[in-house]
Formats: sequence, C-alpha cells, structure tokens
Amino acid sequence: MKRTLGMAFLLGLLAACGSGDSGGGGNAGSSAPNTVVGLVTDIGSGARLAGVTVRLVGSSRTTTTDSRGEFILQNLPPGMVKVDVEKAGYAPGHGLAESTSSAQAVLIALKKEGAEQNYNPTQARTLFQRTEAGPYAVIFSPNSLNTTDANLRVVVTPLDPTKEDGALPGDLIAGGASPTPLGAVTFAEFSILDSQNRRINLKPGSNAIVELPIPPELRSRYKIGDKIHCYAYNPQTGRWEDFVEGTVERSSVDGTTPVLKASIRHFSWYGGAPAVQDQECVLVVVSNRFGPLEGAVVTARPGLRAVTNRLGQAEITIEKGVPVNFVATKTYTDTFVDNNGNLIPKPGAKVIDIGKVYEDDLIGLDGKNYSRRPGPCPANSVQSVRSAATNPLPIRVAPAPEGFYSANALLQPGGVAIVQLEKGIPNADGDLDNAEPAAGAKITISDNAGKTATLSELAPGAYFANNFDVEPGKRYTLNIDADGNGSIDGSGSAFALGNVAWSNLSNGGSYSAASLTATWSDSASAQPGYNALYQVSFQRNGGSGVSDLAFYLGSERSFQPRAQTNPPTPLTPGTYTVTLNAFSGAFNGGNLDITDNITGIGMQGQIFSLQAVNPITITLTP
Amino acid sequence: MRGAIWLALVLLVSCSGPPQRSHYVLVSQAGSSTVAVVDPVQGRTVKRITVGGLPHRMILNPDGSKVYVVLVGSQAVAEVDVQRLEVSRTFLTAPVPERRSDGSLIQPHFDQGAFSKTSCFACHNPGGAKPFIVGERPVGIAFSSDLGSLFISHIRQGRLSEIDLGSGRVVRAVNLPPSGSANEAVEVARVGSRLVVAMRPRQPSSEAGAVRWLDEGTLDPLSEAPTGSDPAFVLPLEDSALVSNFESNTLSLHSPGSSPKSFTVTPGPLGMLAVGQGRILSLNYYSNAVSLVDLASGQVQNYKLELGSRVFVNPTHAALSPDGRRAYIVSSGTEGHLVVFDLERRQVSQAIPIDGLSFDVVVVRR
Repeated sequence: MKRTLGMAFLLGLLAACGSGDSGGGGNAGSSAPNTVVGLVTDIGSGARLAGVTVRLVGSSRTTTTDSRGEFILQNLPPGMVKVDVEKAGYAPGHGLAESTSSAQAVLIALKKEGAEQNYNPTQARTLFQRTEAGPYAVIFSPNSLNTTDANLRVVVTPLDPTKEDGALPGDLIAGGASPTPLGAVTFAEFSILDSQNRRINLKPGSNAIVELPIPPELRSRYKIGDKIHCYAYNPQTGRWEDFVEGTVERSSVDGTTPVLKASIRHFSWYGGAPAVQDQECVLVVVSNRFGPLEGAVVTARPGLRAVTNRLGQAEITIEKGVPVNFVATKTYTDTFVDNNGNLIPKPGAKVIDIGKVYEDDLIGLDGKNYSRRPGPCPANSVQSVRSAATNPLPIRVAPAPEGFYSANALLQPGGVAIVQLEKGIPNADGDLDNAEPAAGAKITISDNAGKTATLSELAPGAYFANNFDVEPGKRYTLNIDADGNGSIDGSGSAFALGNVAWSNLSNGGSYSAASLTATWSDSASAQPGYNALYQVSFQRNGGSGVSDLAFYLGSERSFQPRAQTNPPTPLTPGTYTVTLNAFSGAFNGGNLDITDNITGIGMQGQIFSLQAVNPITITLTP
Repeated sequence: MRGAIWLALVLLVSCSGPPQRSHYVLVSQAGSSTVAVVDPVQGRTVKRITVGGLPHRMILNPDGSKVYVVLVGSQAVAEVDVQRLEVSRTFLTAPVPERRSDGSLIQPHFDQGAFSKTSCFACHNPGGAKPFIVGERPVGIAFSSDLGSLFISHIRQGRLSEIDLGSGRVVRAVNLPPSGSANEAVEVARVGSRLVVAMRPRQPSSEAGAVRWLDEGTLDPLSEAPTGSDPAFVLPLEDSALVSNFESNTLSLHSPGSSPKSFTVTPGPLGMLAVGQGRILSLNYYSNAVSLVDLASGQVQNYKLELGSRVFVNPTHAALSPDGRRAYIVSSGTEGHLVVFDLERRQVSQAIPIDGLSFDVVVVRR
C-alpha cells in the first residue's frame, strides 16, 4: 500500500512538472499550419529591430516587424519559405523556414553595414573596409558594372563567422541527396548602389576580385596557398551557389594579412566555406520548462538542421572536432503558455521560444559523454526515437529576454574568470543607457577539455568562477542565461593568453635602430587555433616627431620598428620606452575597438584575456 | 468513350519514344568522396561508391567496362568496375612525399607505410589523418593511344604523369614549364598521337592561360597558343581541340599551326559534350544555362536550365544517353541535381536529386 501511494505521488509530480504529454511524448503545443513567424535582431547589440521590411521571395507579399522585432506570415504555400529583410543602415538579411503543418520560426540577425565609398565604374579601383581581422577588399576592373551611372556607392560589410555566424543568410550546407555541412571561414556582403539607390551588379560575364581576411582564430588552419571553396548567396533560390576555389594569399591592401582571394560574379553575401569532411551525428533534446518539445527546429553551425520528434529529440549532423553553435526554436502562433503551463488560445499571437548552446565540449572525448556517433546522421533519423538510456545534448528553450544585456568577461591567465552583467536599453551605438547590474543570471564556463563550472554571483551583476583556474592557452566558453529562465541568451568564447615576454629586448639594452627586429614569445602560441593580438609601441623619450614613434598591431611575434614615413625609415637614435600588450578575444580600449564576441538575442558583450608586459627602456643607436 | 481512352493510350505510347537501353548514370560527388549510381528510370541514386577525396573528372574506357575517377584530394585515380559497381583498384598519380614544403620529415608517412599505398585516401579520409585534402591535385585525365595508360595533369607544379594501367604505376612524369604565369596544368586530352594540355595561372587571375600541344611519345612540346586566364576543359575532336574559357565566356577551337577560332556562349562555360552533327553542348556554370554550338556555322543557341519555376544552377559536365537524345547534366549547386535535358525539344525534362557540389558524369551499361 505504501508503495502504491509512493507511485501515485511520483506520477502526480511528473504530471505537475509536465515532463511528458498524455501520450508519453513531448508537449507539441498548438500552432497554425503554413505559418512562419520571425524575429529580427541586430547581431552586434542583440537588440530587437522594429520597422524592418520583410519580403516573401517569389511573391509581392511584404510585412514589417513590430515593436518587438517580430513578424508573422500566414497562409503560405507549403515547402521552404525564403524571406528577404531590409533596414536602412544594415546589410541585407535573408532567412529560411519550412512552411509545414506546424508553424516554424526564423531568426534573422542583421549586421550593421560598412561605410559607403564613392566609385566611378569607369575606373579600376580597390575599395576596402577594415576590421581587426584586416582589410575586406573588392577590386574592380573598369566598366565591369552593369550601369551607366558614374556616381555609385559601394558598401562592404565584413562578417567574421567565428563571432557573428548568426548573421549569415540561409543554411550553410551543400544540400541535395545527401546534405553536407559547410564550415564558415570568412564572409562579407557587397552592395553597389546607384544614384537612385538601386542595387547594381556586374555585367553578365564580368567579374571582380574580392579579398576576405582569414579570421585570426582560423589562421593556424588555413595557410598561404591553401584553396578554399567560395560561394555567393542567391536570395532567389535561398542557396549558396557559384562555387569556385579561392586561394589564401597576402592582402593586396596591406601586404601582410592572409586573405581569401577569389573571383566574384554576383555581388551579394560572399565567402569561403569548405565542405565539412569529418562529421558526427549528435543526439539533442529540446525542452522548455514543461518538458520535451516536439516540432522544435534545431540548427547547428557547422552542421545541419533537424526537427525534434515526439520525445523532443533529434539527431543532427555536425562537424567533428570544432566548437558548434546550436540554436533551437519553437513557436506557437495561435496559443501561448501561461505561467501555470496552460495553452491559451490567442489568435495572431507570436510566441517564439529560443535556446542556444555554444558547445566547446564536443571537441574533446573527455568531455560530457553526449550520445553521438561518427559520420553523418542517417537520412531518416530525424524521427527515430532513442532509448531512455541515451544522453542527449540538452537545449533549453524559453522566450527571448525582453531586456538587453551586456556582458564583460575577463579571463585572467593563471587566475580567475570574472563576468560583469548589466541590463539596460541599447542606444544607437549599441551601448546600454541607464545600465543596471543584472542579478539572478545563470552563467557557466567551460574549457576545451571538458571542465565546466557555474559562476557564483558575488554581488549584483558580478559573477565569479570559484575554484576554476584559467589556464594559459586554453579556450574558454561562456554560456549566459541572463534572465535565469533556463535558456541560454548569449554565448561566446576566447583563448586565455599564454605568458608573453620579450625574446631579444631587455630593459637598459642598446640596439641598432637600422637593424633591430623586436621579437617576443607567447607560451600558448603552439595551441591549435590560438591567436592573440599584440600591440607594440616604441616612443622616444621627449620626442614627438614622426621619426620618434613606431607602432605595431597584429598577430605576428616580431616587428621591425620604423617611422611612418614614405618609405619607412629607421627611428631617430635615442632613449625609448617600449611597451608590449597582448589581447585575446574581444577587447575595447587601448585604441582598439574589436567586434563583440558574446552574441545572442538581447545580448552583446566581450570575453577577453589581456596581458601588459612591463614597459622597458632601451637605447637605439645610429 | 472506350475509343477515346484507346486513342489516348496510343498517343501516350507514341510520345514516349522508344524504350531506353538499360543504363546507369555515374556522377562524381566531390563533397562526399563518392560516385553516385543513378538509375534514370527510377529517378534516384541506387548506390553510392566511396572512391576517395574530391572525385572530379571521370572517363569511361572504350569497351565500357571501367570508369576512371580522378581523386583531386587524394592524389589518385580510382578504377570502378562497371559490372560490379565497385572500386577495383586505385593508382597514385604522384609519389607520396617524404618531406613537407618546409623540409621537415613527414614521420607518419614512414610509420603508416604510406609509400606502399595506392591512394592517399587510405589515411587521409574523414576521421583519419589531417589534412583531408593532400597531394599534387590531379585534375585532367586522358587515355593513351593504345589505351594501355592514362595521362593525368596536376594543378601543383604543372605536372603531367602517365600511369600504366597494367602495373598501376606512374611510368613517366614531367613538370611542364610555365607559359608566362600559367603554371597549373588543369586539363589534358588526346587528339590522335598528340596531347593537348590547358595551362592556367593561379586563380583568380586576369593573365593569359595557354593551350600546349605535346608529342604523346616524347612529351616534347609541339606548339602553343594563348587562351583565356581560366581554361576549364578540353574536348578532343578529330584533329583539333575545343577549350572552354571559364572567365571570358568563350569556347576556343585550337588546331596546331592555326589561329584559334572563338565562339561566345553565356557566362561560365565549363564542361562540353559532343552531341552529334558537329554540335557541341556547352555547360555554362555562371549563367545556369547550356549553349548548343554549331562548330561549322558558328551558330550558338542558349537555353536556360529550368523546369517549371525551378532553376537548376551551376551546370558542370554532361553525358549523352545511349540513344543520343538526352544529355545528363550535373547541376552542381549546393542543392545538387542530375538534370535530364531533351536535346530534341531543347528543354529540361527531369531532375534527379544528387549530392550538392557534384562534378562529372558518365553513362554506363547495366
């Protein structure tokens, strides 16, 4: 009898928790057929974008996003739906969703466009937009554009997929009979606008050359001379097309940055993404606070797309051995879930649950033993039901936060990890106005060997990883649930710096101004994927002329100090103060303004590591 | 009523044409290291043969028993037995190196016995040794006059190798001298007892490529003519060679000792297929179209690759059906299709899903 009561109590608890529906599966919710809902955000700030024009490709239907950045398209034809989105000041965005018997959500992140540059198309010109990765360039031949307008504006919008892959349009896959993920390397959007603000393209048969920097984090993987597959995004088909091989070469703009150089035939989003050869199949489970969700859409980058079955599970193909971004969405268009777990009919409502996991842990075999197997998932595995003994990768979804959060995370090599989290309203620059500490967040940190910790909140908005030593040269990932509702709102990763020290300079030393090449070491430089930026300055004490200062910013570990004359000349002999700073990840300050590397919906921020080597004084001799 | 049905059946039969000889269509699927065996009657891939890294060009031997697949990423050629639809042998197209370009020893090549392998895919495969793509990048392929060997052109170092099909070993190899900045041997074909090699500069480039004629017996150069900066394919004809110029949207007809004759097609000509009566089908990658080129009259007719509202993008290569009425065209977008193009109606009649980023196609008997 006691046992029976115990079982009844347990069943009651299960029912109250909503961990399974009455049929023994997940909670599917109710959603309208052939409906697509969407959310448009700024990839930089994470802010929801209102007033964005949304156009259904292949029809005249348009709509705009509401004050929450959301839109809804109903009564669509079945099949893959393509939407184009436009907002002044942003590069064009594109999204894909399946119009089926249940509604799906499309998340579109827009990237603020680069600066406009004037161009007369009768001339040969190289135009570029520079970021911390280097110059993103387009090289025009004379009269190659399909216009007679002499007053064109060229906009180059760089995109570093190691930080902003959420803004890449469409699915980055080679589809067809047997889909294969493509691994994103470097991208940019190229817009050519005429006097009437119409988009201009190349004449049929003409081409232009583009140069896209290899992101610092990928430079150990792609070397000078390597070939990388390049694609242009076709908004009409919703696919990446026009595959050609590009070559990694030195930038023609600065002569040093390794860039992917390729021939382009259509201006659009363009970039390099080789087919992923080493694949594995991972089992994921998507749930909200009531239990597993059927019909949730999961996308992985690098990886494919899958839809969860009645147990909330899906098998999804990913690239093996690299960090993978998982994003899950679940939408309910004509019902919503109240605080008691009831589905409330609400015609026209747009409810999008979102969950993100940035999983470094999939790199190492010694990490969490998620259910996975070598090779791509079988074609019909999406609806297969796995046994309860499996250990799927959990992705928790919840409504995207209404507030805006900013995170600032410091990795102190040999020390601790500290995160400051603020909540406020983003201004036009993406910074938060009226920022207040954000309490109650759930933040985890993990390294690339499977070690994970949950951060403690020391004070409101200040989080600290207790008993978690940050080791030089390791890669660390933060997953931030800013509002503490169980779903990850933002994530990002960076390497902890190694120990940086001068190799051939010492305090009080004397060197030839004409022949000196300053070199330094970084104990983590041999780590796969590791990349640091080094900032070096030579300043003559008491001097202020052009020949009294030399400056370097880059990822090499040597530098020949030269005055910024044309041509560069040796520095004036004398006594110099020499500084050396090293940075990893995103860091604002010290004359650096680097793209945020913590991204999410309603979230922006930086995770970084820095080291300042003590300044030294040296003498440069004639 | 019964008469109407009978008439409809008669019309249906008369419109469907004679039954096709039984055949398969083989497609090299570069993204998945496989060759797809497509049954055009069923309209699907019935088998996938794992051949090696980045399979691209394929040729069928004259008796139809073997298909040779160039493995760009594995520095090898795979021989596929047509009857069994299996890889029967692989051949290296260049020696396995002992050292890297920086001079350091590649110790795993010694530890793993790499020098006795017949394809780098044995070790450099998905889940295996990194990098996945290795070697001298073989691309072009042609039979020797006596059909006893294969000539293979390589992108790196402009190497041309001859593989003896009896022993499966490289018996001759030369590094072709560059022509200006054109130093990549992207394609090779044989016209009689002469070889035709297309050379191109490292891409992207606007500098000229070259079409070089070699003596098959000595591999000595006979003559050379400039061509576009990105020659993609060489189609051997009776006493000349047709070269597709990917970047300048032309096909150029080369004969030793005479100036090339040029035909303008829609953007991005890549593969070419002789379809009879002196006509050539040009596969125009960037324009999602094909051109029918009459070499005698110079007439060029262009056709979009569309079926209903669907556009089939990035055609690469084509093969002729046994009855000569259809061309099987590889649509090599990220969403791949084998497109059936009716040469009489000059329109797409069918599209069969294959892997994205596929490349070449041959027709074999069942």
